This record gives sequence, C-alpha cells and structure tokens, in this order.
Amino acid sequence: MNQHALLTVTGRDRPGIVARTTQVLFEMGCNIADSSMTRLGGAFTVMLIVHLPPTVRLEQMAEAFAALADEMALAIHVQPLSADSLTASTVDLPQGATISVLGADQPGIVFRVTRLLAEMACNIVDLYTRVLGTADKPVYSMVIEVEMPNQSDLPQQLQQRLTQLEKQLTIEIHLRLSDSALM
Amino acid sequence: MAILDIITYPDARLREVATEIDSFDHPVVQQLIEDLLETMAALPVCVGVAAPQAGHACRLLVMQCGNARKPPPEHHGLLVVGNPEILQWSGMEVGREGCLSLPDYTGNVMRAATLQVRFQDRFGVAQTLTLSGFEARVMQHEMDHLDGKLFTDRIVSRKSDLFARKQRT
Repeated sequence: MNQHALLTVTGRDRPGIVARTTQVLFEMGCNIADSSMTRLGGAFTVMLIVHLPPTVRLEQMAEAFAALADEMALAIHVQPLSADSLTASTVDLPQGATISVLGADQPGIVFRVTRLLAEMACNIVDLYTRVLGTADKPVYSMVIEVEMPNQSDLPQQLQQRLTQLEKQLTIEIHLRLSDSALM
Repeated sequence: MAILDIITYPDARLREVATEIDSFDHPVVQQLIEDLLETMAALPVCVGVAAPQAGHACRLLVMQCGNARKPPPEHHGLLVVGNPEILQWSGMEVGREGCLSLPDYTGNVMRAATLQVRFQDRFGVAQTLTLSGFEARVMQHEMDHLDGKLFTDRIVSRKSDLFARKQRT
C-alpha cells in the first residue's frame, strides 16, 4: 500500500535547498503532492506532502534525509500521514475572503486576529506575515485567506468585529470577499 | 439548444489559438452562441464562457457579470463577443480568478483595470465598449482562452501581492 508522509526542511537560506531535497525524493521514486516552500527572514522552510512508492519504507526515507541534514546543516523531519489527512475538510460552496492587516508591530496581532476568525468559524487556508519598514519603525503586514460558511450575514458580522479590533489595536484591517465567479 | 460540456486542463484544445469567425449568420455559429449562453446560465456563478472551453476553436465568448455572487455596481449585462480586439488599456489590478477549465483552483492575476474592446456582436455588427474593474477582468480572462492562455500563465506570487498592498497604503 502506498504510504504518505509530511516532510519539513528548514535551514539557513541559500541556493540548492529545494534542489537537493527534491533530488533525494526523486531518486527514491517519491512523488510530491501539495507543498509550501518559502523564505522566512534568513531561513528557508519547506513543507511538503510526499507519496512513497510501495518499495520504499518510511524509515528508509528518514535515513536518506538524516544524511542530507548532516550534509547541508538542515533540520529535517519526516512524519507519516494517514490517507484521510490528504484532502481538506471543507464546507459546501464556502465563501472565500482575504484579510490584509497592516500596522505598527506589536505583540498579539496574529493572535487577536486569528482568535476572532476562529470564533467566527472562519477556516484559515493560508497565512503570510512579513515585517516591513525600518528596524526602529517596524510595520507588521499579514495576509490571511479564509474559507467561511456560506451564510449571508457572516461577512457583515466579520467586518464589524474586524473594525472593532482595528480600533483597539490601531492597525488597518481590510476584508475583501473573493468573488468566487467562474470564467 | 444544448448545455455544452466544459473541457478541463490538461485537454490540449485549451492551448490552441482559435480562428476568426467569418460569417455570423451561419447557422452553426448562431447555434454555438445559443449553446454558450445556455451553458453559462446553467453553471452557478458563471460570469463567462469562451468557445474554446467547450471545445470549439473559434473567437467567440459570452459574458454576464450579473451572474457573480456579488455583481459589480456597473456592468454591461449579457454580452456576446466575436473576434474581440483590445484597442486600449490602462491601469493594473491584482484580483482573484477561478476558471471552469481548472476546477477547484483560484489564483491572483494581474489585469488591466480599464479596457476598450472592439468586437462583433451576435449579428456580426461591430461594437466598441469600455469595460472596467471586474468586467474588464472577465473579458481579459475569456480573451486569453481564444489565444490558448490560462490564468495560471499569469499568476502573481503571494509575495508580490503583499508588496502591491503595501504600496497602496
């Protein structure tokens, strides 16, 4: 039976991390499914779902990556995934939205915004933050994509709560409903 | 009348450059227009269909921005567009697009904000329209189908999207 694994790789950013990681996978005959690979500050991070061929055991894959971790000074972790964790649970025809946040950096921005989203049953599908501005005047920016239940008054409620939070934290929060129109 | 099957990626026909329509009074062309309209109406939240998405390699598309879940405040309603060409464009905007031919996938795409388009209507009569915002976006998306292009060819990164936001504030 095919096995699936979640592979995470982190290390000092430089050219070659993705190439060497995926070379190991390719040579073992593993197939990459969904992945997210991005630079965070001076580090590069890789998270990917891998389908192992029937001939490769998870332990063999872990060994191969232990060698790569030594060779390239990376932190690599392999964990098994059950087949049912390969597809996301989603509501029927969810309303998508993008929330962008911009403001003076302060502890708690991510926590307060995402706590509100959780309370409103908004499911985060993607979140990206970045510190902009200068060292003495850092500006925190965050872009969150959510899926929310397709309930007509929910966007308005969410907008009201976000406006309250905007005032409390003196930051800017913009809610943009994605038009799920098909073309 | 018939609801047409929408072909999906990686069907090679989505990558073909469609040919011009010579005679709009040909029954086959008129039938295709009717079928595209019926197909668009039958699909939920469908704001546009191009003939190549139904496997017909001709420069024809239909649009109806009123079908959006939140229709834009101003739009031209139902449009039948043959042999379109862009005369002028201005401004650039990033917006989210979803395509019938790439189910379950959306992406941020940079498009001209305003567009002047010349085309032939369903009777072959030349028309010129100025479209903006979402309607301009739909027109560009559908016109791309006539040239074998998909929105994934034009996708912008999350990071550049973030910087675009920063510049606006």
